[in-house]
Amino acid sequence: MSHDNDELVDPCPPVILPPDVVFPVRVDVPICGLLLRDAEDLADLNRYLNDIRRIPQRKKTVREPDPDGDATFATFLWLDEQRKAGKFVAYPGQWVVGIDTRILGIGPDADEIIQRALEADPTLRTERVVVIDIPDPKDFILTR
Amino acid sequence: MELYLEPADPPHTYTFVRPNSSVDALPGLRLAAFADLRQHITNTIHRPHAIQKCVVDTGAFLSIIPSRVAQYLDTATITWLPFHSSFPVGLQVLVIAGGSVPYELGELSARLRDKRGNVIDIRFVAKFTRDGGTLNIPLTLGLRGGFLEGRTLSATPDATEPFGAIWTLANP
Repeated sequence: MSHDNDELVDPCPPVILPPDVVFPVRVDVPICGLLLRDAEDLADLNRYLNDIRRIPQRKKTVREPDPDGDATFATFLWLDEQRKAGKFVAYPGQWVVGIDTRILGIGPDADEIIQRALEADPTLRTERVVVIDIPDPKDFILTR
Repeated sequence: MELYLEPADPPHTYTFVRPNSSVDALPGLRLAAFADLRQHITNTIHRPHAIQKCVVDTGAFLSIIPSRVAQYLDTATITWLPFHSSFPVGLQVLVIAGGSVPYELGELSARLRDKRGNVIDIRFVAKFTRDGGTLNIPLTLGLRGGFLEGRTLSATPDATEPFGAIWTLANP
């Protein structure tokens, strides 16, 4: 590599992301072939690197998109609200099975309900199925 | 992220008489959190049980995972922590609800979620009770073992909340 080549080569081009990018996204910023002419260049480099380090990589944590997790949690919260509202008091000790904020079935065997639902609709996305139990007051334990 | 004060299920209320003869009442409340245990569920049949409503109990020495919850987890994904020979046999049982059950220690991960979409990933040591499904308690998040360490648990009075306070768990 010639150090006295006057041709300008940008060693660290700007990061350009496609317009439809979904954040968070990881990028690898290349700094290849960076020419340091003197100690002042080195100081400049370290100053700029210090600025980059200020981007809060750990404090500014963002989670990966998790649509299935979000959907199942939404269904769980919905079922839990129904349970707290007393909608399932007629089914003590049984299971309520739901998906996408609707009820698939209620009964003593959650697996059987899921199986029946799958037979009725083979396209059912089982990864979004949620099960909650209905407490039986006779089993209530006051632990503290 | 938020934690939630909620009545026990089924609910109960402590009703009592004050010295001035007035009758007062306190609902029995729990501090609840939601844990997503998907990363420990490898059998797709068990996946619908991944989200568990937990009780936060700082009076519990460690977290507790009863068999009724543990049965859905893949034991191969749990880091089992055998008792050291110096650990007293008498402490190798959990005394709870008028009974005692043996337990094993294990370490696992969970994603705590709240209703606003916030998450905190935790890794914690828990007592896996060998109760055969008879211990009818929820997954309990206890004081030590990784749930609270390094985090802030706080309650802020708020008259607009159903039970007068907002509880939060925060990373530093």
